[in-house]
Amino acid sequence: MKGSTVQVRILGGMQQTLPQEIEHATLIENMTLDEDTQAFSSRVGYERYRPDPADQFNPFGALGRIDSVYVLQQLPGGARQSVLIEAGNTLYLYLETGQQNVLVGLASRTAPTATDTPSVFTQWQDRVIVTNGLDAPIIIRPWPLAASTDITSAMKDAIVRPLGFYGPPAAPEMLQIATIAAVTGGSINSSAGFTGNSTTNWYPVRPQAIAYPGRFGLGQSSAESDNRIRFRVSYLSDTGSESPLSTDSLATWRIETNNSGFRYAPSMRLPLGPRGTVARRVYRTLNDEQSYLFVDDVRNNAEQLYHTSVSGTGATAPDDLASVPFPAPNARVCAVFKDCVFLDGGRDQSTTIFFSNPGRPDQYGGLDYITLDGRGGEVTGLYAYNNNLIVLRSAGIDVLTGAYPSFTVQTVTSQVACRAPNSIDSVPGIGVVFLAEDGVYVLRGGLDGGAQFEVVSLGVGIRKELQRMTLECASRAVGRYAPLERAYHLYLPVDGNDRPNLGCVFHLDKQAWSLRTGFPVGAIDRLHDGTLVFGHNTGAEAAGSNPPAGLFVLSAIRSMGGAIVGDNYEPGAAPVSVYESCWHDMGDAQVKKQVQYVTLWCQTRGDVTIDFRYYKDFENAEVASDNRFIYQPPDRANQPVLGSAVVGTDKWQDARLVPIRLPTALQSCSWFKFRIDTTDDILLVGYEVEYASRGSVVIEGKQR
Amino acid sequence: MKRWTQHDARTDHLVEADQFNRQNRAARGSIAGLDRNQYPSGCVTDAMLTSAARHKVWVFAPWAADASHTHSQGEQTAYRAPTADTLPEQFRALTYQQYQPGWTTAFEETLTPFKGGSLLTDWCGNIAQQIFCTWSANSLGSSSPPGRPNDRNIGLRVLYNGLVVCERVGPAKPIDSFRVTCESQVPAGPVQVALQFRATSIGPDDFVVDQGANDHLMQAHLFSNRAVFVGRWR
Repeated sequence: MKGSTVQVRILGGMQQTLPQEIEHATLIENMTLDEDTQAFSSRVGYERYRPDPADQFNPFGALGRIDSVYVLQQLPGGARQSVLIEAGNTLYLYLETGQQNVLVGLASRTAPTATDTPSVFTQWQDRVIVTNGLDAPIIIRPWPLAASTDITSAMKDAIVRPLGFYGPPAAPEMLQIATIAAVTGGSINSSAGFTGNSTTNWYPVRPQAIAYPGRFGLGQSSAESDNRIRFRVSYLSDTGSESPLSTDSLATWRIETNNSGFRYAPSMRLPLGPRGTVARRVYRTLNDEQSYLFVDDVRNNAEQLYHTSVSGTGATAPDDLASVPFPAPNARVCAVFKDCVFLDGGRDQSTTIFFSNPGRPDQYGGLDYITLDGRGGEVTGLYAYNNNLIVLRSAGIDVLTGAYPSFTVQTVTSQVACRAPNSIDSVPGIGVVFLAEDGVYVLRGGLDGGAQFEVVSLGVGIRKELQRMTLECASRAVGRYAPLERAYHLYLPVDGNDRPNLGCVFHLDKQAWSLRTGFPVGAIDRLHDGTLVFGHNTGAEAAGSNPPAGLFVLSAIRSMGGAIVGDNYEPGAAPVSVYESCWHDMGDAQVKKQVQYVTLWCQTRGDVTIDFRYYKDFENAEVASDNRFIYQPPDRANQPVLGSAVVGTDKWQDARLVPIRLPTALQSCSWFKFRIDTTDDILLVGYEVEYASRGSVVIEGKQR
Repeated sequence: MKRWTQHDARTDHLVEADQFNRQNRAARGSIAGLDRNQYPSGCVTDAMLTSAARHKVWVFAPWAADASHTHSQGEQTAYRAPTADTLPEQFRALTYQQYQPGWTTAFEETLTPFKGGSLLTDWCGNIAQQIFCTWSANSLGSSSPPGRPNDRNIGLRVLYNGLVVCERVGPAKPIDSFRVTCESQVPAGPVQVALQFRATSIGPDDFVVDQGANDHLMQAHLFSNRAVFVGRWR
């Protein structure tokens, strides 16, 4: 008997609310989209970042869970790609230049607890700023670096240093000025009474004695005059930032009677700056005045003895508020916006945002901060987007606009809160996607040209899964958009776990979700080619010998990692991929249906078994399963398959879209769904369900 | 740059061209995409490199004995007084009778091949100059009319392709040594380097002639100069 059909020509994503739309699915697990057909494919898996099987899990074998990972690109095409990871209490550079395979410990960091946000990485030019809320923010420039065997602690110091200046320099140490004593009718002698901590650098002032009188030497030269000149000094960092100015030092000398006609060049010892200092800048006052003027830059951080002999001065020194000690030593998150580095105030100033001078990430003005409305809660994330800086908070979202130093903040919403800064990423055509406490949201729009910001829920299709989230550990969630797969991957801790153990994937081309299970993602980032790289979420913490550890990539390998067998790494078993259709009611649930066939529209995959089972009326147990059929054309000759195809005889094949008709027998039902489990390579395009109905309806509901 | 699995061929699966191609593209791209940043350590040895592949050093010590600098031994010869005009104990050097004040090229050379990159110059040498009239008793105001001082120095500068990359006030003593070091990024192609000096021009009361012998007095000179140019590129 020819029955009625329900056709689902193009599959949608997951929908866990009821009733379901027919193109959606109850469960899509461990499947991705085939780029040619937009069909759901089981070509997922993960493999080691470094594929050499003889390397075992080296050099990561001793590492536990990887809390954070960041990939810094300094050249297009991945030619200068540096991978930074944080595990335990150490920030490592994974050094792979010249085929090296070495972890270089760059800095000690406080290991985050289960509820802490792991380190947040922010690129500034060709450097990375690392913040974690517990340690001082650091700035790293990991390239170039010598071969691992040649790396010294001095080299590490040169590439890793704290961000900002933690105080002003010490005041310059003035040497005394020993004036020369003019003896009437005699020769010029140095004054007595001065020890070695003094200098006598003199210049004549009379035009008969020097071609440019007045150009050299400082202060007054006339008899009975007192000279009082104050000096201050600041550091210049390798980012061009200027530190706060030191307190002053006074150079004073008196020109005695019969001693006139000479000016002097004071000498001083300049303080040496912290790591990253490339120069020191000297300011001074004019004689007995208060305002400071630029004198000179000492373009190194090594020489201490400095003489200043030129009487001219430069521009006025910056005021004391132009640069203050680093204001955010416990910053948790960071972003670069309008050429300024933005940092939150950390746990002690959790509703304050500090920003640097433009182009000078180490320099913070005393008034360069914004205090947010306290109702929005602490700052949990910062993300530059279009012409705005998104400020994600524990009880709302604000948007910062403007230009240095006149930034302003306004509130977008007080109903959505982000706790996971490492889940924030920009998805093309969608907006800024992030994990909130109650689901996944997207922030899109702007404030320019009449545009408005809007916060839209994106995670409705997987609402049930997101409710499994361990809220206390939500800050552990990580997410990144994968250009290679055109999908946003979100991994979050669920079911009480303290680290990510469930993956949710938003497929951009279908605007739909699927799940990933069994992927041990602890931290994740994007490589140069759009592949996602992740750090293992347990590593050496796991039981057994040689537990998987280190960096892995999400790829099409259809293998879930691997294990060490006989000292070599071998790929593991294929992931179990599941497609579970929606519950079909064929238009009216109260009418009883007899489903006769499910016809899969799928690409031929070879002699691969279709593991098919079907269910009725929301029952857990399947009605029946059937694995007699294979993914070959039902009414044509079989296509050759690997393992039996003969080279030179059989030809390369194109996968064909074929209907494969699978019989079902379930008597009658109100709702119907089917499920395909597989560890094989399948591509599912669509399907149709053929059913008959004689019009009988469900009986009256049960009574007490 | 390396790529990861695009297709994992397994038994009983379709002999599918597209999937094979996908993996093949990735594998070939990984090989073709290798660049010098990813060479294994030590895989390129010096023996494989052509001359000047990564750098070239030009050393002039003493200055090349070409037609213009024959036997100069690193002396500037832009101003060279005739033997008959100078005192016998002097350098045959710059005199105010012949000096045209201004920057004067002491040495120049065309560096080739230069592939574009960093060019470092290290120029050192000695100078001699007549500074005694600057601090003579006559300058202190006891003569009538008082003499005028003429502070002497020999300015030094380095030019790459006509552009000044370094300029120093230079020595101001009667005899002194100097060293000038500078570096700049220079585009590819032959680089014309010029090492120039500028002596102080004549002052109102300077001595220019030995009145007894009626010989011209040396005013400034550069001698035993050395220069090293290091071009580096990748």
